[in-house]
Amino acid sequence: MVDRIVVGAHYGLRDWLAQRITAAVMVVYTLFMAGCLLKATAGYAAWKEVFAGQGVKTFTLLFLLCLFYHAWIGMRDIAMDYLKPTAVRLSFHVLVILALMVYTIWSVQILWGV
Amino acid sequence: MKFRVYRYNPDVDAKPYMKEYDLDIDPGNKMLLDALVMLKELDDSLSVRKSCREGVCGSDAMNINGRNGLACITPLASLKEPVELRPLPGLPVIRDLVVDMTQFFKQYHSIKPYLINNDPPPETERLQSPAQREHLNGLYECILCGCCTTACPSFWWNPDKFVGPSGLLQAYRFIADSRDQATSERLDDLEDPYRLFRCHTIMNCVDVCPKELNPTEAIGHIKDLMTKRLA
Amino acid sequence: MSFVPNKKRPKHLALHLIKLPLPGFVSILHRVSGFALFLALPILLLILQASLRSPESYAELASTLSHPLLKLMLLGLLWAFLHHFCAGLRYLAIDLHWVKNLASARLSSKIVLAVSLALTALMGVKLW
Repeated sequence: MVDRIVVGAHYGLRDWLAQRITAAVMVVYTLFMAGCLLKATAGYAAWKEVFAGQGVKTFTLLFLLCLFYHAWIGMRDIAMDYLKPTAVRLSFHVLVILALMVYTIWSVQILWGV
Repeated sequence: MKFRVYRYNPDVDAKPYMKEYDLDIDPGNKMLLDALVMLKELDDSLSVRKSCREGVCGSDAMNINGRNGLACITPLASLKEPVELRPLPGLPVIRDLVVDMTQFFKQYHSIKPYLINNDPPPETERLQSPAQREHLNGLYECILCGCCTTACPSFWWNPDKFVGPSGLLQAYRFIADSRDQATSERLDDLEDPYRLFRCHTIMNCVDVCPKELNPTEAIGHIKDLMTKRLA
Repeated sequence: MSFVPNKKRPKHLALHLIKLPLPGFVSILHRVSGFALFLALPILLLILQASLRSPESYAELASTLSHPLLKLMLLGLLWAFLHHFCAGLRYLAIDLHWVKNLASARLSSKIVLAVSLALTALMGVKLW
């Protein structure tokens, strides 16, 4: 194989925007949650109550999905800078993606589980 | 004044080392380059690039006490002793303070640093209104010394793929030019995860630019145009 | 004998000898804190799960987390989150051209460091 520098994959802007949009969602959720926690009393019952409604469950899942997508872009950015051999980088990508997919399934189970 | 200078001669040295000098010089209103010229008289094996000695040619960029700058416009009196001089970070060292700028200029050429206009040339110049000309201020003044690009960690890790602050400032200089007709192609060329988007707006470039230019802001304007195009 | 030039030229990249301006320092902390939070994701999900599952698991979690070492870890993660949060807001401000010159870049970096540390301390006091 010839040794060429390959650039030109057109997802730079898309990922940059996605990172910012997911960040904005997370900021809103964080402020919302901080408000909930300030109002709620201590203890299991009150904590459970916060997550009782479908609305909060959905918002929480949206937050977690944004978090996982945001984390993927961040981890890939780190790999771009420090992990050079293709095999190492690809393995890192696969591990991160698989972990985030498992976290996604797990999040649904936590929120809608017992 | 005490100096510690990065020395490396590929013919003799297995690896670089720091050499100490004690120079009898009154800092007064002298610049660092004056001291370097005297050092070279003392030890003619020392290699330095220099030319205009007034901050216009951009030849004598180096890492001065950990910070990139031009020796010719850095007042000696402003420097803490011992003055530690090293070559620009991240570029291959040819000898002593002289680095190989090939990679830097490759990135500069890759952004097509010239006006692209396919209209037949007019009888006179291609005219700009004063307002259109105003857009080029803060962009065209770059002297390509390499201080900013070699202060940028993103360039250190990906010098072959990331254009770097200096090249991106010049990319915007042509995007912002009312006479240029290749804006879309220029944006296409930069819409890649490496060429522009390795910039994380840490502003090391703005911090060191000896001409006080702002590559981060220029990069921000390019991102604005890309976003506008998408929407 | 012909001369063989040293093809492998050295590079000066001794990071401890290159000055990192304050905005750059805030930026590398943004990366470090983001990476730490990514590594902590399974722990955080585990905590969320235990806190919601049942009163028993909630009580068990509360007693586990009262261990000083775990509290310290939690405080570290709290700082990581708060720093990442504040530094992220600063990046959004840069993108919106609210922060554009060197002076405002430095000032906003100081604010990010101070606010995230202050909030961590405040919440740390509450946690203890």
